[in-house]
Amino acid sequence: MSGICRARLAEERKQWRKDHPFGFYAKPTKAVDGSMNLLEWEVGIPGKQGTPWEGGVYKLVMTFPEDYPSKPPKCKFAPPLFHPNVYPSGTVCLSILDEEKSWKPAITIKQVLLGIQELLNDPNVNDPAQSDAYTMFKNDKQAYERRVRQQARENIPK
Amino acid sequence: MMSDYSDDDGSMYDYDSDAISVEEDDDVAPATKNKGKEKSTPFDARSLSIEALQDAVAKDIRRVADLTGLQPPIASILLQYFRWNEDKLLERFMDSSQDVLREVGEPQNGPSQETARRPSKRARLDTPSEFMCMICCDTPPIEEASDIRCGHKFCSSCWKEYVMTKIKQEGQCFFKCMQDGCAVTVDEPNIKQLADDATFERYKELLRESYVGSNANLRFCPHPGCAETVWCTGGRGQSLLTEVPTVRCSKGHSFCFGCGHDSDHRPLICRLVPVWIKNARDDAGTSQWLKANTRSCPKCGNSIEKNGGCNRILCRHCQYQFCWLCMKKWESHGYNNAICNAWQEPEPDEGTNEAKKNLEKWLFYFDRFNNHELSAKLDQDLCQRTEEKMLEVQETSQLSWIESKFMQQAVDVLTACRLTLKWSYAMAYFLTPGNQKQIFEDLQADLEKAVEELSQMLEEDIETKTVKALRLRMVDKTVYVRGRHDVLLQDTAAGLAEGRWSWIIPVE
Repeated sequence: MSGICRARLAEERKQWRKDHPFGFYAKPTKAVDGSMNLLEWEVGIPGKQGTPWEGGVYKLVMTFPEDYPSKPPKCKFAPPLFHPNVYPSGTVCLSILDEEKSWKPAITIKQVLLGIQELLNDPNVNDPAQSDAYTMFKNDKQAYERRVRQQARENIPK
Repeated sequence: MMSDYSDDDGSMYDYDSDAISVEEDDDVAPATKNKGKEKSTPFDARSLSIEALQDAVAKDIRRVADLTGLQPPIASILLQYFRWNEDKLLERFMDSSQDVLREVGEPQNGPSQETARRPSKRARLDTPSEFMCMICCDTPPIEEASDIRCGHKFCSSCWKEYVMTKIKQEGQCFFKCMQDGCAVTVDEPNIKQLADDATFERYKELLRESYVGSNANLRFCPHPGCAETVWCTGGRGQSLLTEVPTVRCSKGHSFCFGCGHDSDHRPLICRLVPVWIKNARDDAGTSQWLKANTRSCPKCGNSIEKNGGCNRILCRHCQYQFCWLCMKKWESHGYNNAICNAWQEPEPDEGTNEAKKNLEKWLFYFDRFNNHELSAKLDQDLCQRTEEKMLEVQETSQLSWIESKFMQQAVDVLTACRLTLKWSYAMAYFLTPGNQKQIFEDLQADLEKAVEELSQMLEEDIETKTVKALRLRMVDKTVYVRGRHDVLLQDTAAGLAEGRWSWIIPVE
């Protein structure tokens, strides 16, 4: 499978360089010796215009298992994000990233990242992953939004 | 007995969705074959082999295919989608077949043109004339690509990898096309074509598991390594308060159809079995340790562990001071050891508290429960040890081979009785004190006495001179014990049916 995994990731990389949505970035990390590690990508997801997330670009690490694309990549915000569907560790809880749920081998990195961007301002309250953001989102929308705007300011790219 | 039904349309609505289509004349042994003594079991049961179960699955699929006019693989997908609820499926299908098919994700008008084009559109970006598989990004000749009913083409090796991962690693038999957002389910012919034999076998196994899991009348035999399935009409919901649906698969493994417990737990009802087992698991270590290592304060009953050499014990709980050895009040005792050196019957304990009483009651029943488990094993061991001796004796005496089996028969009966006795102590623990419990305990005592007498006979020496007499006594006793066993089981079952028993904890 690792043959498929690497070939697919190399192609994903090629397609991404050719064309990717505005404000995003995604690139494989570099090992100490300078070689490219295709199994781990550094990613930036911009908050959508017109939402409290606007202005921030949220950093995320995508880790691909050896049996990718049979299995989905793991997406982890680093540092962890204040969001109802992000675990305290930073891992994103999203149905398309769950092989038991909606993951399909044909889902591309671009689709995954657009899916996560969509999730930012449209959290799924039925599937909370952290209590801080979840309780604030449920009980005090205004305070929640303030906190999100603050987080956006902290994540303005330099 | 279940009614037989035919495949014609007319019987469709008579069909009881809870019943399973097993031929009446199937050559499987009736699950209750060995329970013939219990005349009025309120439920019906039979054992199915893997093949018979597979036939039942196939037959359900075929019937739905006939009724709906769909291909069997599609009927199978529909059945799985409706969790094998045939009535619901057919009702919905007759209302609107289009809605049902759309809901399940079946392509409506052949392969969707829009999505089918997508892979090639993408491939066109760099290699216009070639097919590119979106999964591995390889560009094999188009002939090596395949698709399922939705028309999403991927290369065959990616399909294979996907199907094997889903079935072998994730244990799923119901999964969809690899294309993002495509809801078309990979059907059985696809799987047969893509998977290797072992994976396809696993697929069928998963399908059977899904079938059994969705059918309240079916349960896999819980015995390790046994592949039988038992079909039974009993053992659901409220009926579990009035019956213990013990069944036996055709390989001879007894289990409870109601709760899946892997042995015959009669006479205790299913609801109380986990309560007992949990108590036993929690307390086995604790209560025995307490018994061996602690003493109860004579005043408040609190358990105290001795943590130093001094015999003057101060109860942290009630501040009472007493002597560890004689359990007497320390003031009256002082440092005069003379008081402690002679055995005295313990005085009746007035200050015993509720917790201690409960613990003692628990220990009483738990010890007996465990003891029967242990004794059953020892009876078996003893029987095996004497087998050799028996062969020897058989040659010198004039016993036939079949006659020499009397010990094994006795042990078989003993094992069954000890199992029942074991659970009867669990039952007694949960019974509210009163006349009914008294009657129950009388029956229990009768059986226990007879069992111990028979067990004792096992230990008698086997000599050529006396073996015939021993055999006679033992066969008589075995018959008697079996009789007492039946009486106990019948009476408790009748009691359950009549609602005669009342429990110390709520069971509803």
